[in-house]
Amino acid sequence: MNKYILTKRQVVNELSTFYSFLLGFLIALMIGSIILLIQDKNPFDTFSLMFKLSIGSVNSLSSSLNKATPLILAGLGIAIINTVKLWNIGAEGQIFMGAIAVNLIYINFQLTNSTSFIFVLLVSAFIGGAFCILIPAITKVLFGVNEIITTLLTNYIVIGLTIYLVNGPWKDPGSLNFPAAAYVGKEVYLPTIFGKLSYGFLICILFTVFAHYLKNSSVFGYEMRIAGGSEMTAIYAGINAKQKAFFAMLIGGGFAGLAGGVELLSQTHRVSTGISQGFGYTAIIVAAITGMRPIGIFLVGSLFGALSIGGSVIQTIGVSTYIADIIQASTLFGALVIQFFFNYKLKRADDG
Amino acid sequence: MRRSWAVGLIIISILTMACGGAADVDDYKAAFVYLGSANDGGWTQAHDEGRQYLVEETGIETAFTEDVPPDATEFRTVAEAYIEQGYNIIFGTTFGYLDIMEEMALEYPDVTFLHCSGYKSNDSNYTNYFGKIYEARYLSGLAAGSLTESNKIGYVAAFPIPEVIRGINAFANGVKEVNPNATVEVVWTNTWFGPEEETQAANALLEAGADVLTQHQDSASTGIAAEAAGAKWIGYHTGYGKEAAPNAFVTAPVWNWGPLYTEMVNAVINDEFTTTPYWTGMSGNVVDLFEVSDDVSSDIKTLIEDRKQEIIDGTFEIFEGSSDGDLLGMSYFVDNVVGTLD
Repeated sequence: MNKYILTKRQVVNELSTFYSFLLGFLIALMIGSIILLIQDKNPFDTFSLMFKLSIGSVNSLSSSLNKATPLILAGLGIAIINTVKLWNIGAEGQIFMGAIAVNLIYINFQLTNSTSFIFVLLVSAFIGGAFCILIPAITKVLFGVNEIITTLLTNYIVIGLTIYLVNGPWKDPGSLNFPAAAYVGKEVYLPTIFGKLSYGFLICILFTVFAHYLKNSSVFGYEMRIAGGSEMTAIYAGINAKQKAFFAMLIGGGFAGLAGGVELLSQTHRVSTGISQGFGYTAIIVAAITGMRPIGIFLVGSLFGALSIGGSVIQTIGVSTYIADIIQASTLFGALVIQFFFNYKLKRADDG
Repeated sequence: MRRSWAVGLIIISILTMACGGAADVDDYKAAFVYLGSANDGGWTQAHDEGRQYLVEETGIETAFTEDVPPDATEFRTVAEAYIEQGYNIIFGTTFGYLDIMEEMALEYPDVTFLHCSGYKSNDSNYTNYFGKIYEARYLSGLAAGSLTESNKIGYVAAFPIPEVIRGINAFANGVKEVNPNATVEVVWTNTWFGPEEETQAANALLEAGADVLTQHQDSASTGIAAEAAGAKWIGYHTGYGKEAAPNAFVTAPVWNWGPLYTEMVNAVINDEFTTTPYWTGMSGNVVDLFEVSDDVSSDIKTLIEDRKQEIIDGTFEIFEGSSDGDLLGMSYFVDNVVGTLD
């Protein structure tokens, strides 16, 4: 009888994450094609139209990148927190909190210089996101409470808070009772670089570089990795692991909060329950699929932005939007399974 | 063979040129952006039936997208994809598209934007349309008032916006006319389509003693809850409720968008389109009351028929002395309604 066992490969190709993602994506396209064929649609026509309408013109490309912006920013935040081997499931709530912070500052303070006002609002968004993860961070470092549970639960609290605000104190009298806050003034809209591409995307590029530096090249990043690796090593190296974990969580939460602020100032222009359409959860997928690498998050986040736009436009030619969802989900699944085989190999047990 | 092709082509091009400039349905494509699913048995299905009627009547090419949330970014993505594919009439069938449609109408002056249930318009290519469903709600109130024994009628409602409040008040006026002792109790769900929230609200009303329920919601959940409790139910949107809750179902205020859609699209094609909002009711055949079940006595059925005719003739006012403006901004409850407005 042949028995198989899994053994970890000694040498793992540095590019394995990239290859596994690519293979996963191809598998996902094949699954999508089969479903399209079952529905009597031509997969080639469908995918080429999806391609054309999501990245085929300046207009659609900028829509895709705008869509990618919150995914990338929140994904970077998740990756930073993961440097200390902690999980942030609360990016969705932090996105909402970032938007709430922007509106709070916007309605209470007015700066005449709109550039500095936008800057202040974006900083508020970052602080809002950090504030949102404060309690999970404190309970984690003081009492060791599982951050997966606490960050997840804060999502429900913050979304509940949003519903309260847009139905209560912040409800726009001009909206005839429609549950949304008043629009922010045009003077604080994030300008566009070209076409419809918002400056939010530029912020996104800057923060990708920043996150990459923070994780891989900075002293803090090094200390975070040690702190996340082994408690004993951290103690030996004189690193306060709890302190590193605490600040990593606040910074990561801030990234997601910034995502909410950028989304408000560039896209929705007001607080409502539609600030995020599950960006915080998709960001977990983006971060996980890339092995928490900032540059990877940037690339895959952009692709997911395009897929999301493609998924919305695919319906305009009579294909269900769920096809795009299936492609997204199978990309993740395919990439994770393949990545597993890049890291491990199957061995016959009797080979010794 | 080849020559006959060429001759054919020439004839076709001459014909095309002859028609050039004149109204031609082939120059237009209409896209519908929906909040819900096209077979939801409710609001969106009523619109999609209107779209199918439009296609039959005019032969225009149409397409639709479902599940587009009432927020700016999604609507823009979908609408721009349509515009890029040459669609030049865009229907948006939920209130929340109001501002983004206004914004896009400015950016795309060659595209006509038609918004259902809003109140905004511009002077060239953007207007709103709606049906006076409250007329049918008033008639359904006559049925409900005659059926309640506990004198408590439950109303599961989405959001406290004028459209919904107007419907509640019209319904309550109908109830009052046949049963001055009955009250209409309102529970808000804060969602247009939320089977769970709707069920929860319906059950709360049933527990509070209501024996007749109605709704301003997009699913049949209220009817299913009423069916389970042995109560009566007045549906909304379509007659689909009759299948969902056969014993509870009494009647339903229903939409009939087809004729209005045909009228608006023909106006665009024939270059007669104006941005005066389209707002008609039973007289314009946009709304109606679904066939009333035999739970309702023949006296009341006769009263409903009489009132319906008076509304069509314009001899009966549901809200005496109110202008269209008053109705469109309605933000108070009439005195037999129990509930909060925020």
